[in-house]
Amino acid sequence: MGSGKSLVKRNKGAMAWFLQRVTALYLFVFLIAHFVIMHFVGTGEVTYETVAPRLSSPLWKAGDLLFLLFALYHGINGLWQVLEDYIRGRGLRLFLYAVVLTIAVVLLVVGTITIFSVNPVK
Amino acid sequence: MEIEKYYHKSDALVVGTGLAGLRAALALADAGIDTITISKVYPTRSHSVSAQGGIAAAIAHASDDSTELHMWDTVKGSDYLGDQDAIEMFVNEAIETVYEMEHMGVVFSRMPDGRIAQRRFGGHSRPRAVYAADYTGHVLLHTLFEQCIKKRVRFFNEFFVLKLVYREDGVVSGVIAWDIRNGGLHIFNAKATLFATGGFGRAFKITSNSFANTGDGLALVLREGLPIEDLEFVQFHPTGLYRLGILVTEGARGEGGYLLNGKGERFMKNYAPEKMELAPRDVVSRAIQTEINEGRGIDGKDYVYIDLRHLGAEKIKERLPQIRELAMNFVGVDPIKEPIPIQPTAHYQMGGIPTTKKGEVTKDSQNTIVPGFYAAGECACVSIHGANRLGTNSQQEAITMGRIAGEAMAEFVKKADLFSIPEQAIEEAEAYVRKYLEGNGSVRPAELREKLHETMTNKVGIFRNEKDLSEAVKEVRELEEQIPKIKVEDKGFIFNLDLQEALETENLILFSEIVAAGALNRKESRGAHYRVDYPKRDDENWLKHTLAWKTPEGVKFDYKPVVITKYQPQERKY
Amino acid sequence: MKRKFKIFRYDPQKDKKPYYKEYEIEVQDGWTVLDAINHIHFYVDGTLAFRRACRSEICGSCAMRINGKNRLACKTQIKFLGKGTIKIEPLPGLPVIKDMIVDMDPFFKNLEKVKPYFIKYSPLPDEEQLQTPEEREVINEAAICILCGACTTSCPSFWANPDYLGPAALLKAYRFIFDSRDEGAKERLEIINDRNGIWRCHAIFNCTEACPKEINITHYIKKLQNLAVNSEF
Repeated sequence: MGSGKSLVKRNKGAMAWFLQRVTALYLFVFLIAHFVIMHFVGTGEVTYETVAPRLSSPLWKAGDLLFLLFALYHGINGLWQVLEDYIRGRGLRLFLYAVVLTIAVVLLVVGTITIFSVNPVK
Repeated sequence: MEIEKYYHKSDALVVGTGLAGLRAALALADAGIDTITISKVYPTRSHSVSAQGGIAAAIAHASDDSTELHMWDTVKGSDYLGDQDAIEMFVNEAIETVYEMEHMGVVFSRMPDGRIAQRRFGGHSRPRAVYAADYTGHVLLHTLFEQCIKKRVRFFNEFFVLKLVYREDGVVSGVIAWDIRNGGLHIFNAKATLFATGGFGRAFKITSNSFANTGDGLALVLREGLPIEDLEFVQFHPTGLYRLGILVTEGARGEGGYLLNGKGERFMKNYAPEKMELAPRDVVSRAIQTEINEGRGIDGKDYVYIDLRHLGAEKIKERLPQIRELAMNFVGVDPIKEPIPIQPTAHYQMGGIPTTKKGEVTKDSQNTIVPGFYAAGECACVSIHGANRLGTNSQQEAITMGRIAGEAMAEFVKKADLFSIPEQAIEEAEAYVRKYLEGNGSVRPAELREKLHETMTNKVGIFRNEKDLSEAVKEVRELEEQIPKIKVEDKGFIFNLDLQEALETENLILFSEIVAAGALNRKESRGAHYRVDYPKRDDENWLKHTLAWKTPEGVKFDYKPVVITKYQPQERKY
Repeated sequence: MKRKFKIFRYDPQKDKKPYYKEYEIEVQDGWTVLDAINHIHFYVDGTLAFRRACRSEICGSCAMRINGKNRLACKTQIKFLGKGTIKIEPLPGLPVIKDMIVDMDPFFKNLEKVKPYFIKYSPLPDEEQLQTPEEREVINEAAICILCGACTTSCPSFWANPDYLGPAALLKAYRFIFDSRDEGAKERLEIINDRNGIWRCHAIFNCTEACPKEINITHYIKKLQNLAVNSEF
């Protein structure tokens, strides 16, 4: 069998299928962590002083960035498949692909800006 | 109205895509012969797919079986009408057929050590049936179809053959067919033509057969003035689902199922004390019909039970899953909890187009060969089954004879010339469909078929007598006179099912006269042919094959001797 | 009992476009949908066309859409279809030739793509190749597919992408790839490991629901996906 590289090149669909599952796993773990931190670890009031240091830590940022990327990939890939399954007209399908991609790019940009706009408190 | 004509040439032509046709096509493809295969259905719809119980071969995995025993059982089963030279060849080739099919990937049921499993079947003295649960025909047919895909066999699916081209010089040079899907005449010209057109069960009201089993091949041959052999021998399978006739495999009895009458008795003890339920089909069907006729059916009605409950849920689910499904869906009975209502059902024709051991069609009592014409499977009569076929011998015959005939054809076409198709034959075929597409009849094909069903079921059934049979011959002739009045409502070219049924009905009526007249003519009881007025077998006068021709004056008969090599006829007891 | 049937009709020689025609007939107890349309064809309207052969759930000819679901007409008991009008249409996703008859060629062409035949390179034994009942069990269910097309034509992914091999062809690939005797797994996997192969399956489960032989087709496609991923990464 070919390597993962040749797989992507040939765009057979295996990589998409595989990434969908990898991202699902990450989302699952991340959301549980999120839930635990928000409701059990970090009790007390939600204020700028408690949240800002957390959001500005590089580790946290990396996690959030991965979350953004993976959630977007997972969601967009899912939508993509739905379009493939249910939209028969080629023109309409291409148009919807473009819409979905545009939304993805906008979300990615906005999300990235948000993550990097919180900086360490001096 | 213009009917388009299309011309095709090939070295070999195979008509019919059941087990025999596909195996022959494969043999031809293996030999590198350019072959066209024609079928009125998609290959996997052929009725071989419905075969359930198994395929006989003395591979001796479950017993001390031998080819001699297989031969002896088949000869005895045939009530000594089977040709013993053909049977001897058949039982030897059978073993190769099983291994060859396994090598093509058939999913036969297995023993724990991984070897092919075998089960018991009626009339076989050893467990000899190689099987795949109760889907044996299905897996065999699909496997052959798969191999034909691999070998790139050329398929013409959904073509209905209108005419066999039997030239004045006695050579067969192809067929002329109607394209069911688009309309139009297709002229198939070939050096050799094989008929593997299957059975004729649809002449009867209660039958295990598919809608497609209208004996078209037999009618095509009769129409050309060629004879049919032993057509009076019709096998009624003992266990068809009540009222529907859908097959309940003999494997159900092979696995240990009981037959019970209205009193709850295993009545087979009165008919075949030794073999009981596993006596041959003719014996068991007569027993069931006798119980019914004498008022011992269930609640006095026209059916008895096959009881599988004592086999247990596990065995039923593993070995007979299809039977369970069919019983639940069609008669609302789960065989794990209740017995299944059954009655005998028209199943198989022992007779057919007379052939040699190589599948070459013959045309008289001297076995004169018709050059370029072959037949194999149920439509052919070699004769391996004589007056009564044993279960599992037919799938075996279809594949084995398909292979042998295919190989013989391959040899033949390498040396043979291509003979043309006379213009007159094409005109006849065209006139044949035109009469329906342009005609203005008043009788629906279904009405004629219904009348034929009544006649054949009531008067040419399991028990026969002079009076019924003479009436039957007369009634079938009357139906024949009605053929020009057949009404075809659909005048279109595209998938004209109405037209197809008119053509099939004509075929059914044509050969049914041969069946009835043959039964009237044979004044003895042998195998599946039972005359109440001549209840004994008469070897002195009737140890011979019937050859029957259709002539304007009625049916003409001749006879040919039975080939007897090892086993002299003796009393047949089970 | 009288029942109403609303049947899809289309004869390209006569009709500009398809329409539905209603028939009301007397239905007997125990009748299947096939019995009913046979009756209509035999005695009411000879122009009605459909395929059928074995009438016992094994030849795969009579798959059609009955009350919006792909089923075998011969397997569908009328008494289980409620009280209303019974709607009969051709299988979706394939070109209609006439009435309930669709062109099955695309379906069989897809099947042919997956090398749907036993492949063996090593020398064969004189007798049978051994296979234990456990090894056989793995492919037992897949091997009884009747190629009726109910699964493939129920799949939205197939409707939108006619190049998708479809569940029936993939099931056939499974039947050989997981056959302990077969040696063609690798070459078949290369064919089905494709956007229009196993990866087009998004586990909608329509095929499994439609299968008249109750084969869990989706499950087998998932097995193929697992196998492909495991051999890829």
